[in-house]
Amino acid sequence: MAGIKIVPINLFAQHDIRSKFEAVVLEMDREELNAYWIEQHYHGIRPPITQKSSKSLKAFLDGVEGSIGYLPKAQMDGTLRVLYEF
Amino acid sequence: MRLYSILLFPIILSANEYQLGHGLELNPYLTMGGYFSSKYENSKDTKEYMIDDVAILAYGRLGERFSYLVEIEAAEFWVHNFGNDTTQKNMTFHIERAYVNYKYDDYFSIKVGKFITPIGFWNLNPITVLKDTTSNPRYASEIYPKFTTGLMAYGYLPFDESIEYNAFIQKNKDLDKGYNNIQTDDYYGMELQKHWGDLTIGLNMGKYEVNEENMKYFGASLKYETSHLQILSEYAHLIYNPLSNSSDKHDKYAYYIQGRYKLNAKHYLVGRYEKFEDGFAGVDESVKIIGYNYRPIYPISIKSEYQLRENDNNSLIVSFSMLF
Repeated sequence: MAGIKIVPINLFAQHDIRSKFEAVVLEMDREELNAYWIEQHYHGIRPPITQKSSKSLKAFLDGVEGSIGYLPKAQMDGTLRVLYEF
Repeated sequence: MRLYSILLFPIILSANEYQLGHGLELNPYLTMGGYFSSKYENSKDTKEYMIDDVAILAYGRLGERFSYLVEIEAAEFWVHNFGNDTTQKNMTFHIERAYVNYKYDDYFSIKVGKFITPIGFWNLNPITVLKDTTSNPRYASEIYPKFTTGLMAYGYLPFDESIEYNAFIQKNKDLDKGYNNIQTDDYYGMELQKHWGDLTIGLNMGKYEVNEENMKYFGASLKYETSHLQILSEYAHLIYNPLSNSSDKHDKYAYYIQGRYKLNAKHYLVGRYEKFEDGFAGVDESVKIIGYNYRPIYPISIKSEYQLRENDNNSLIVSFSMLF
């Protein structure tokens, strides 16, 4: 999206949906992601901020322009734009 | 709701627990980190132990679209030579990187200051703990300046998001003169990298001036990576004029190909072949390396490598490095 800064949001590390997102969408296991973010730390880049529940993640998506995350289908409503389903 | 979310932001981040290798995030505006490495080298000519790099880095946000990074480093911090039983110390810290970044969107960002020259793969992760071998191929130090003090634009191409671009220019002195492999105050270049799933291929070119002599280079890089196997290869060719009283042009080139096999998250096997040739200086060198990298956890690396050289000056290098 031209001109809009993307703000990625993650669920907390133990969340089931996050594990599925990492395996299916990112196709990386936790060790690979850990290595990736350690390299990014050297380049001054932080991992996405996390939310404790899909409910709080939904509230964040509703409130912050350019934010992007993943939610159970049941929580989707007309306020969000779906980019991909898995 | 938006205000509430933004106000909550620093509180959530402050609650993050420190993890080794991820830095200490004090708030969104300041994360502290650093690294150090030490190595032992034994060859016919060299027998020494050194604390090679000690570095501190700080970075964070300066606003919605601005961020910064500062890194200071002392190289060859403490060196003991077993051959003549001497010890040297260098406690002087230099500016390795210092820049402000402006991110407009994924297609266009700008960096101003001193940054790593964006070429290929090796040059981007130059510290021991992030590499698979302690040593660097000659490719990494002979062809182009590792750091640039100037302006860089980068991002993805709007019409093809599988292609990354970067272009940089320097028209001034190095921010920390003397702390670069090649000193220049006139440098520009660019690179394109195309991603196809597990494969990335890059092309780069640039020009810089040393003692009013023009140096032109071009190069290519390749990275193939699956969950267990990584193949890295880079080539660079420099056309230069080593004599100011002659218009003769000379060439030097360097390349390497390296394979890494990940046995599991802690154990890695590495093999590399590297070549460097400088016709004018009469250097024609090739090195074969086999190595093993043990990572008890990812930000700690214990490496050993054996270098086979044509002149029989083989060497063994063992290192310990950590990112924090």
